[in-house]
Amino acid sequence: MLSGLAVVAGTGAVGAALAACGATPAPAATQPPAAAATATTVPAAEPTATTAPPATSGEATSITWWTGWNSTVLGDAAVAASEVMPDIKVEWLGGVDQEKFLTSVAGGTPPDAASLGAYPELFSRNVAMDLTEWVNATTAFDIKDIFDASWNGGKVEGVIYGIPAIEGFVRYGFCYNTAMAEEAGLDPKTPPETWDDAFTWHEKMTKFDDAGNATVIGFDPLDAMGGSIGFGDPFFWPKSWGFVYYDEKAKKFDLDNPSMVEGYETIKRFYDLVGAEKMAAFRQSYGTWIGPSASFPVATQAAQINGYWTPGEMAVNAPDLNIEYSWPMVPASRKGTKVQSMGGHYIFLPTGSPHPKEAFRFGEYMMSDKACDIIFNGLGWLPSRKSYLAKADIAKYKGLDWFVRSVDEATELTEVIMDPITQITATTVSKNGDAVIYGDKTPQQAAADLQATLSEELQKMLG
Amino acid sequence: MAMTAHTARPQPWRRELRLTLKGLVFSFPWLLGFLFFTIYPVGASLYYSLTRYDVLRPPRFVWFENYIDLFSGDPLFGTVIRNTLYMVIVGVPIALVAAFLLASLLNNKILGRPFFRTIFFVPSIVPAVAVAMVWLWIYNTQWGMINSTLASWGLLAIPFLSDPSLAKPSLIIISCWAQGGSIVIFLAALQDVPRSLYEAALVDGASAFRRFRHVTIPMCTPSILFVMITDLIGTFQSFTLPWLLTEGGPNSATELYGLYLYRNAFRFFKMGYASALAWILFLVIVAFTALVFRSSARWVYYGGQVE
Repeated sequence: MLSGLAVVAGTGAVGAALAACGATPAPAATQPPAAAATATTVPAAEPTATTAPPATSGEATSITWWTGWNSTVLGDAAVAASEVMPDIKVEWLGGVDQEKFLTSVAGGTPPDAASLGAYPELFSRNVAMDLTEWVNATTAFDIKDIFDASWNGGKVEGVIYGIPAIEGFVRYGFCYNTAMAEEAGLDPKTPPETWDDAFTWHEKMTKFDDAGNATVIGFDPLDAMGGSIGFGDPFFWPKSWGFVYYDEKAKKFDLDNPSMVEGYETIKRFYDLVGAEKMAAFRQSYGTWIGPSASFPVATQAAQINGYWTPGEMAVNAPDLNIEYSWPMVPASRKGTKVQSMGGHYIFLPTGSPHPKEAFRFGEYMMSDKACDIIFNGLGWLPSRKSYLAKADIAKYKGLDWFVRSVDEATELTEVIMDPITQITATTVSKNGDAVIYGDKTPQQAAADLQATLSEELQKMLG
Repeated sequence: MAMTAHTARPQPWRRELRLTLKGLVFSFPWLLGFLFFTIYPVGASLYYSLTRYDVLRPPRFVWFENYIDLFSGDPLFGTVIRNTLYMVIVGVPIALVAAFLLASLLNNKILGRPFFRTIFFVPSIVPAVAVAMVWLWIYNTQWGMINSTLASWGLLAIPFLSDPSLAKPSLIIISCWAQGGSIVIFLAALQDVPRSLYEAALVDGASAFRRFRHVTIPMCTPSILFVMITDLIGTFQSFTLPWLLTEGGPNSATELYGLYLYRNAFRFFKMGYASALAWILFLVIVAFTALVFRSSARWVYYGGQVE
């Protein structure tokens, strides 16, 4: 019996692991960088990244920069930063997940700078240092040169936590394979405007084999940005249906409404055409988004909603496909509305960053033309700097011009909502969506449950 | 002289004390590790389970609120419990029977026995991530081994991991496949069954099935008990395979306890809640283990025990 219990005691390790992660309370999150650096040594008074003279003596300070992506192009940018600022050596680590980051912050060993995780959630929990004073004082870039929406996504209640570097541009476009549309008897020059139009396209482009297996999916409304929430991305359905799902000032969710119900009904309609199991199996088999083997680049899916990076990434992953871009769909009642939203990623300094000044200078450097060039040429990603958009070779990636124009042509240009429980929101939206798709809940029930769950979670988070 | 002899011999309690101290000194490094890396975290997790704690801000004491929320306000908790119990109640016995039958087959004198023993053991030493990748390919509906064959016959693909009714059985099949460790234990037990018992049964005219039923199984029950307990604990804590294969889907069909605990801790920043989940799991496992141990008096036979 004793030995049995001893074995059982091992299960406490689960709790133990959790406890170990939280054994050291995080350092005071609200400590601003200004508190660490006196007024005379704020970065503004120091050489900025773009104007910094080479160090004349002493060893370079090593700083670490963790990113969620693992593209080596980001490593190239880090190396370039070290060359421009010889007194700083940037060590880049890619492919870092939020779990690793979280435990490093809790354990008091965070990186100097980071670009990962659900920013609204991290910033709302004071995981990042207050950069307001430093940003206001910087001469490395012009604050007004950056889209307001990009600043707003790095800000909580007026406090700036993130520098909108690396990438930060528009999130939505209806991306479609013209050859597949033509093959289905559709006119690629008149893409769908409403969800009903899109359903017609979906119906015509979806193919089955004789046994009833789906071989081609017309349009998966949940693929890529159509189903993404968080990590620098807005929530598409509220943008499409035209409602604000979370009121940042009142701190209230508004999800139990007819638009959200219609959203769930619409998604179910698209999935019902193929069959929920078959659609899920198709997504599992090929993968989603636009990686080299995903269904859209391999032309087994004809359309998806995705962001401005699609032309650049498709140029690498599927250079032979002819992809066109158009406005993402809206409900029939909003026909004619051109919906677009900004979003993007940030460089932030985690609370307890060992070298905040150097890390901030690195952040400044990442806003420079040189850094933007490395990223744009390597990945096709655009920054949130208007002046860079004006000088970048947009024609390099076919279709990118549509996204650039969309900023001016959109009738609704919105931004990421700073939902402090983004990841719970994303999971709960998705779980309730699954329940609707698989027929376990009605859209009405799903919307009501969503509202109830998120309201409760928000109250707990706010304490 | 007698006095000298008396003082030279240490008193028994002193000898005991000295031995104990020596023992403590030698085991000190382990004890230190045990205290800091096991006892403290376990105690801390109990404390955190009574707090609202997101790792990033100091914990706030909420007494039993997390536990109350689990049982009264969490819409997913019931699903998670049902899924986990399904895997334990259906999956563990199936995996156990599969392992025992395979071990029995491998215990026969067949051609290439060492080869087959190796083949069946290999899956248990393959890293879980590799196992997951292999099975993702086997189960793939577009070009997986099974579905490609079905497609070539003009049949509908089986959505192993995307049909809520098939997802859990599909995970159970994988756990049956990776029973190498249990097979080795059962093989050792099978080889320990005295030949004389089989000979006696044979003399009494017992068929092969009866010999298996009334000799082999009873003599292997201590090993069956051990494997059952370890499988049971492992299944309650199951994480890697479902996380890599389904991430809890489709439609929460494989949202198992370990996944839910992890999601709450590291995705939702709810460490206090996750700690409460961990303690509930601990208590459930203790209860199940105790139940199995209590029942073992009825079905486990230890050699040499007097009835």
